[in-house]
Amino acid sequence: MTGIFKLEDKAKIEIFNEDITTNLSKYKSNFGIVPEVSNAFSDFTVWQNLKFSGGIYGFPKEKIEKRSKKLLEQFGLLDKMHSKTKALSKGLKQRLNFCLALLHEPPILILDEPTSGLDPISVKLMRNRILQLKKEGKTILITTHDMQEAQTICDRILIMNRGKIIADESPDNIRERFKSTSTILFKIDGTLSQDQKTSLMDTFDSIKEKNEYYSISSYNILRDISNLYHYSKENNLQISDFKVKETSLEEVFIHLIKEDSISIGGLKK
Amino acid sequence: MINDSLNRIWILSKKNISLYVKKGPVLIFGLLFPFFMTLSWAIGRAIPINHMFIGIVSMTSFFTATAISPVVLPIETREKSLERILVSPISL
Repeated sequence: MTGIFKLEDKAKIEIFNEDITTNLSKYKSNFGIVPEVSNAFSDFTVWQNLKFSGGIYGFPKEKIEKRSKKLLEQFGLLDKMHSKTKALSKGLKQRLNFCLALLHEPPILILDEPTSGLDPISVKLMRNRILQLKKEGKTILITTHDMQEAQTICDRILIMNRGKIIADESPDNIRERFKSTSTILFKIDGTLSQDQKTSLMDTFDSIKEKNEYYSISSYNILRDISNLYHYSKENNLQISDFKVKETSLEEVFIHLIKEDSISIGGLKK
Repeated sequence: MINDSLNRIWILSKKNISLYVKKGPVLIFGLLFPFFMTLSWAIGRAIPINHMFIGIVSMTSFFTATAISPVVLPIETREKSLERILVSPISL
């Protein structure tokens, strides 16, 4: 889509109902790309990079200057405009990448891990700006491993494993579908004997012990809570610190990837 | 259309001049080498200064152009700035 890799013979790309496969360069100004690692010219200053980008996209000088200043102000880079790019921190470089991607006002933004490795202030700034751009009606394509980010920003999530799409839904739908895999967390007062532990492990298949806590991955939360209640009563166990943890998108991601890898024989259960 | 393309070529050339002409290999092979080569050839011969000047300019242009490519491509590939140029609307 960005024109870096050659398309396969039968592949076709349609953007805004137009086939762009044959004349990709004509449509390139529709895209703003923010890479994971800065691709600005490191020996240029922030201002020189913006001027170069504006020139390549065919903007007149006045428009480049006006738009660059606006973007630098929005991304808090105005005081760094004469600093060399190589002297900027990773967070500042990423802010510059955003400025470069937005300079030509593209309707589509492609963001590759936009907040990876950034400080919390930069992450917050980026996320707010992405949400703002989303409100303005831009189409935003984000690749991320940060499920929290995907949950906050995205309307539609595609999960890929080994080049294959294994889920394509809204974040709420995905979580709803996997609600059944909630986790029950609890502590048992006192020390359990080895026999008691074995009996507990035998009764609940998915039970795990970690840092005095027991966790049960549950596909039927009500049934498992009820079973746990009866089991503790029958065996005189005092349960404390009882919690039910809802499935996060991160857990759904891990679950889907594991499931897919097992089905194609790449991972053992 | 042609104007646009020429403008973009000029912007790319300006970028290459300002970023890479001062790099060591370009200075040595593109400027110093042709200068001393012409000088060593000219010493002891009665060559008019205007002929010398043309010789130096053409040798310098030739050697700078050939010396700059091996500098630009590895640097831009490493810094990923080549990708940035490839995704911009310029005709290859």
